[in-house]
Amino acid sequence: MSLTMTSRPSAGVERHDEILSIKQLRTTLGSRPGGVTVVDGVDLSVRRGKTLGIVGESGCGKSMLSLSVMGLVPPPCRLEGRIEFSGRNLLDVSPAEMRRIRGNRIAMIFQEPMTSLNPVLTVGFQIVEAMRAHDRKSSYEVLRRRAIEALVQVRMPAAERRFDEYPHQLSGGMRQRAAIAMALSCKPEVLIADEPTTALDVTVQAEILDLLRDLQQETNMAIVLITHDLGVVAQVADEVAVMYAGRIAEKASCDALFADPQHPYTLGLLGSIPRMDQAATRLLAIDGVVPPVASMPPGCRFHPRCVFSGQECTRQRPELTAVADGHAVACLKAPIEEGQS
Amino acid sequence: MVDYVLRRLLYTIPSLLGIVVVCFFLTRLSGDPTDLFLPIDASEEARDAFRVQYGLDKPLMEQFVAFFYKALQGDFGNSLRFGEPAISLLAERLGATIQLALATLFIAVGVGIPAGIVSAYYRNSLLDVAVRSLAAFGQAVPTFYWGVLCILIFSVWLKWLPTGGSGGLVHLILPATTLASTLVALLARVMRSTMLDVMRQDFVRTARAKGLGEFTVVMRHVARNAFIPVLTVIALQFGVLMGGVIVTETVFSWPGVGRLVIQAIYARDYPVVQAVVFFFALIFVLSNLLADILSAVLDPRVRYK
Repeated sequence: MSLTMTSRPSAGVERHDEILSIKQLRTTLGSRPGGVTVVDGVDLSVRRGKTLGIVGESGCGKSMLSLSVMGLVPPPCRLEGRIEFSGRNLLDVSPAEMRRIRGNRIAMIFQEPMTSLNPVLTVGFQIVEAMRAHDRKSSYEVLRRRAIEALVQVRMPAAERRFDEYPHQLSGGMRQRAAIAMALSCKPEVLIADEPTTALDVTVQAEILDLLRDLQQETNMAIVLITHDLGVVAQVADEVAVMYAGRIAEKASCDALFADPQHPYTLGLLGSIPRMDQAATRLLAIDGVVPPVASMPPGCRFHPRCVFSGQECTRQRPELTAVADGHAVACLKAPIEEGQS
Repeated sequence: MVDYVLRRLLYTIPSLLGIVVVCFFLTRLSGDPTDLFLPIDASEEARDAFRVQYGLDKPLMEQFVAFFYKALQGDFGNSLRFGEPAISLLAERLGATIQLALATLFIAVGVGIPAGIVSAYYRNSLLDVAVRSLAAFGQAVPTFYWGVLCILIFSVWLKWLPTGGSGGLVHLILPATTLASTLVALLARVMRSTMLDVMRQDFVRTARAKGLGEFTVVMRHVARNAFIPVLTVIALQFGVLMGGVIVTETVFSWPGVGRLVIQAIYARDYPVVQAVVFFFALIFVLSNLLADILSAVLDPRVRYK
């Protein structure tokens, strides 16, 4: 997969002001004693009209991070820190208030288009239902027309007919389009896309990413794109955060991250992408596996797998520190020069 | 959809034919009806006369063809006891049994399904534990014991309800609740477990992510999907209910088909027994057919296959 950078023209400041900002978020699953912390002190922010990519292996806490923002972490759970959205801390708002924001101002699409739609309700009904949850005044006819418009907007073939069809009558790509139409039907300010293309084949994947980018340009929404695929990030993200074991390892603009990766984990991830222009005898991979959430190593959580780690890495937790403008890394050994190992 | 219903309807034909066959041979297996019906010291002439009268002197296959042909027209012969057609005896009692069965079903679904939904939603709470305990209790206590116990408490001690017989709604309460007790328990348990399965599905998370209220998520997205397999259980249990009808009608002297068949068995009135057995089997087949049609209505994946 090629890593093409796309630079977008930046408009005025208001067009790109911060819409969602996560501060020192800690998400703990389970009841009080013996809970596991799956998101541990994460700071992130997204701007209107921009895409933030969150990259990491499965189990790094990226999905829990997105569910935390939606207020959908399965109970019992504990959330600490702040999630600021249009001037309010989402961790403080009432459940009723959160319900009004959810799906309306912050929407989400999920990984599995096969299972994320209700099999016994028509696609159209499920879109209308999303709109009706936030708009009790409009008649069914009005909502139906808007739902068909939403299907047209996501380039659903034969949109009018699809309205009355059931999810099992659609292909995987069409189901994901339906899910996107559903998420966008209320014109959200933030769209969280959790691995939206992982379950799709490569050509459909590219179509969906193009679609998301075009929709973003039309609506100026902010997108949080969660993925394990650096190729996807390179295609669409403006900024990237690399997550490892519930923490942010590195945060930078998309260009900077690919041009000058600083964290050993990022280097490892980039090294494990197979490239078309280099003949490699074997696929490079980072040694070892992500530690289980219940028994995290002390100090830097990556040190058991890190080729650069030293004594201090086993004791001291590295904080996210700026190495350049807009580029921060959580590594005691940073900056890492090329050729060092 | 029409296609589907027609196909399901066709599938019931072999079942019904099979039932007629089983009905005939099963009754014959229980012995020579002549020996069963005539006194032990009956003369050989009387026996022969009896055999000729009921066509028992003919070869078995010939008898079967005659029975089969008549059974398809709804004629199971005349009752040996009353001389009336067995089918009209059955028809007389049918109303009472249908009344009892529908009341039972109404109670079972009306109590069992909501109990299962609540129990699943508040799983591991005190409420859930209470529902599960009651359900285990309800399934463990046999219908006849339940019936006698209810009569003792509500009729003999409290004198709130009649001990038996038929009449208004008050007569229906005890037999229907007794008959419903095991079914309520079963439905609550099955509904609870299918609810828990559906609650883990991705589309439930999607429904919440849309900003739907909890009630809508639980009823429209979880319960509706969870109910589809439960429907099949209800249909199968409706057949089993027919067995319960026999016991309950006897305990509460309810003038239905169940009591008719018990009396017919005691009196060795085999045309009536055959008619009732066929009728119960027919109910079983039809309730399954209804479940298939209803699940197609609820589940588009079945409909379009």
